[in-house]
Amino acid sequence: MLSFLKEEGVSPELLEGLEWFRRDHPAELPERVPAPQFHYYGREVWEQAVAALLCGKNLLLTGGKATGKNVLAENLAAAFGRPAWNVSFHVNLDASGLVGMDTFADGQVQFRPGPICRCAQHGGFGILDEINMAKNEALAVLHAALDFRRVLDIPGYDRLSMAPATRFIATMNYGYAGTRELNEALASRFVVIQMPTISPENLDRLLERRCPALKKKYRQQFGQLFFDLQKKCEGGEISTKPLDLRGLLDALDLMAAGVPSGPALDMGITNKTSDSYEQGLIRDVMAARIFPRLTRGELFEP
Amino acid sequence: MSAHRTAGQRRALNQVWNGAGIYGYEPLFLSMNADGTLNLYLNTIVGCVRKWYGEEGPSRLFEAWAGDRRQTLLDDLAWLALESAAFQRELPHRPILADLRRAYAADFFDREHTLSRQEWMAKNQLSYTMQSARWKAVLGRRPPVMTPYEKRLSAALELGPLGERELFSAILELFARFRLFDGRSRPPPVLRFHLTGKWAGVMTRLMPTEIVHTDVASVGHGAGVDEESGPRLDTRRAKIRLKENVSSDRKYIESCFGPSLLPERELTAIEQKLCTGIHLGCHLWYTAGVPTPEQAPNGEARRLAQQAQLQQERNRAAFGADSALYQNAIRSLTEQIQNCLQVHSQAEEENARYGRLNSRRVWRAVVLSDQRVFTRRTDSSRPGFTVDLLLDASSSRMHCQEIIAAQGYILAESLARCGVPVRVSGFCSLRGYTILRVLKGFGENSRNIFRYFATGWNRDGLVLQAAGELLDSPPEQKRLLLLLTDASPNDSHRIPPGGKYPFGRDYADAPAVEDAAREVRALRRRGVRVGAVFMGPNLNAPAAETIYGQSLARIRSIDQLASAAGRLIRAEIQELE
Repeated sequence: MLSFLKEEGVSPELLEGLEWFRRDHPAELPERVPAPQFHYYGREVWEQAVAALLCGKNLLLTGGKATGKNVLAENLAAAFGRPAWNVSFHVNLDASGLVGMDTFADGQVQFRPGPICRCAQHGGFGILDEINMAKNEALAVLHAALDFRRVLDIPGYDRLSMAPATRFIATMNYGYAGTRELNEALASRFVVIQMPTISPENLDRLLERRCPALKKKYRQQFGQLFFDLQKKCEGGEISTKPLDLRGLLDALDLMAAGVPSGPALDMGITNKTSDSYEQGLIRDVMAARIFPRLTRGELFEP
Repeated sequence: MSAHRTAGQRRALNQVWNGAGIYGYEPLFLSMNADGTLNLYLNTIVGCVRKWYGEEGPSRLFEAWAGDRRQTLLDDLAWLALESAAFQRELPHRPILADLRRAYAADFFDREHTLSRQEWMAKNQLSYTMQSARWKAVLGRRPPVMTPYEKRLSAALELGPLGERELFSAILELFARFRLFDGRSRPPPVLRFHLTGKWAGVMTRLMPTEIVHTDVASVGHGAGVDEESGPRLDTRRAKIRLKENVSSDRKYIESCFGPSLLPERELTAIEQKLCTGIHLGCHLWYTAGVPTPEQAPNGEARRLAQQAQLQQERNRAAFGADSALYQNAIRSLTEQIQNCLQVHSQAEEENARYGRLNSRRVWRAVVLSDQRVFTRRTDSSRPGFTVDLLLDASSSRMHCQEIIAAQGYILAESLARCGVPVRVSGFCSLRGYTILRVLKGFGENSRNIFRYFATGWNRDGLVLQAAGELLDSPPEQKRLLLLLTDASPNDSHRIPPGGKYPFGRDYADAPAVEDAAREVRALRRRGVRVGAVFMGPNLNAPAAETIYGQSLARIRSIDQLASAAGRLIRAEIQELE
């Protein structure tokens, strides 16, 4: 991971700080340290995020779909060499789902620690995915853990101090219908990075790294296809479901395995929506970029 | 104002927007074949013209000869020139364009075999020759037989990848050089016809019409109306009807709109309560529909029933023709409302095997081996409120009845899928009767909304009061009333002399707006949340704000009704939390 950051051009001071952090906080629970499948591309965002975490801050990554919020969060845990607990927030999540809850075992009531509790014990990185989907009362339990107090008060049990390496990285998607604004008290406990859309150059690098044999002319067209879909999504003509970078990469894997371009794109992108009208719009975008019967031999270098 | 578009047109529009990389603008042209299939290549090119040459330049170019007797020919030739230029500029960025162009060229000649004699005759020979030459060249075939003039013109239309500045002057210069257009538009001589009788009937179906309110119930079908000018109030004709026979009005209303939903005594009590003050002398009629032609008691009612049935068929057919687009809208709206309901749902507690220990149940674990001695919070999926949608069904909506019915269906179906009880009614006024037609009751099939038709006037103040009475027994405690309105209440039944108006006056303009605003406030005081989707001329926008205040969503096209109402509903759900 550190060599990748060097390639990205992240400043040597920050990389040095990162190495110090890793030395000061030896690896725990190695099976929980992420081994990212994808790298996040974008030097500026990397530098901002690494600096914030080295300063002991918690990060809030905001941005639309396919801006790489979760990829960056995982990459950061890997770069800092810390175990990660990924909590997907939803409307029914309550405080006990975060901190832990009582359970009945061997004829007695016992506390079963939740992900935040375990994260605090092991100095892990808590990845709070779609934090604005949860109700404010569920999130209140995190206040003391996220501010200068760095403690977790478990009702009926002890006060748990955070291990020094503990950090929280929250992600949220503003403006998605139904989601709520993060309340001020919680928002003030994070430093916020507004995640930019992946640039055409970085997407090209991602595709090149993922599919090195893909011919350059097609690589550019697949990249443009993603941006065409993004514009259609921003224009409100299709839902966000087909705007799926992972789906595009999956489709390329299928093409490399011998599935023609049209069916592969359908499997990776178009069929993510079940709406036939929307599928028609997506196929039009594809037809204006990629010939649907391209074979592996045509797409990839031998 | 953006016009209503079919599913096919909407998809063609998307192809253009995709080519342009810009969404939401109105393109100059959409390319669709006679059989309804789309030309992906040409639509992409229309988009590319926007991308490389902007919006203003091309529209100025086409405006230059707008109205000219050779406009169609000039449009066709200009597009051939633009296609050539835009294709060459876009090709390096979109290599597949060459394949699409060849496929389109092949399709152009394939379609020749299916053209009828009339279609051939309608084609301009010069335009056809130029297109034929272009597409044969694309396919690498021998060019068609052409005169030297045509050969030169065909070559000249092959413009290179010109920049924005040179392109338009190059096309105008080309047209001047080939004596096609010298910069001055020459309109064809105008023919005027005055039609009466059957021909007038046929032409009013085909041509744009102006809507005039009368006090005779009839279901018309306007081909279009200028929304800015709005319908014209013709109280003179209405008064003539009113003086004819006041006592027969009730029979007339009953025969046209069907029996009252309420028993006589209840209806009389409501009338006595509501038809006072400026509504003195007015009547109310709550009904669930129009009798079938077989049930209609007299000829006039039978005619209305037949027209209503025809309109219902039109509503269904229009929905069926674009069902893919409408189903897409239903799915999207359902998802949004569902999401909003989930996020703002209320918590409930249930017994569970883990959670917060419930000391009063601990004995069950020891005695009954029941491990569910904890309580856990879950969210109630019960929405806890009802929606009443009131659709303006006065003559001013005659030109867009199919779209209103479809939009009402989208909204009702989306809410029903989210478990929100919804009732949809149409309202109009006729001969002093304010009629509230319940098109779809709570729990009924949403397809009943296709029974919507527009006729008569709209006395908004009284409708709001009448709706308030209907709202008293909904299945949920919290009630949301949404109206589709043009914020222009007017009725043939005058405000009677007395009080603020000693000489009486027409129920229209400021007094009618004030009345409607007063009734909205009264409903809100009773705990009913009232919102409105306003579609009407700019002139009425201040009136809409006066009546509905903040809970107002303005739409430019009736297509946006469901999404605007959805926005209001989402805002209300957040408020209800």
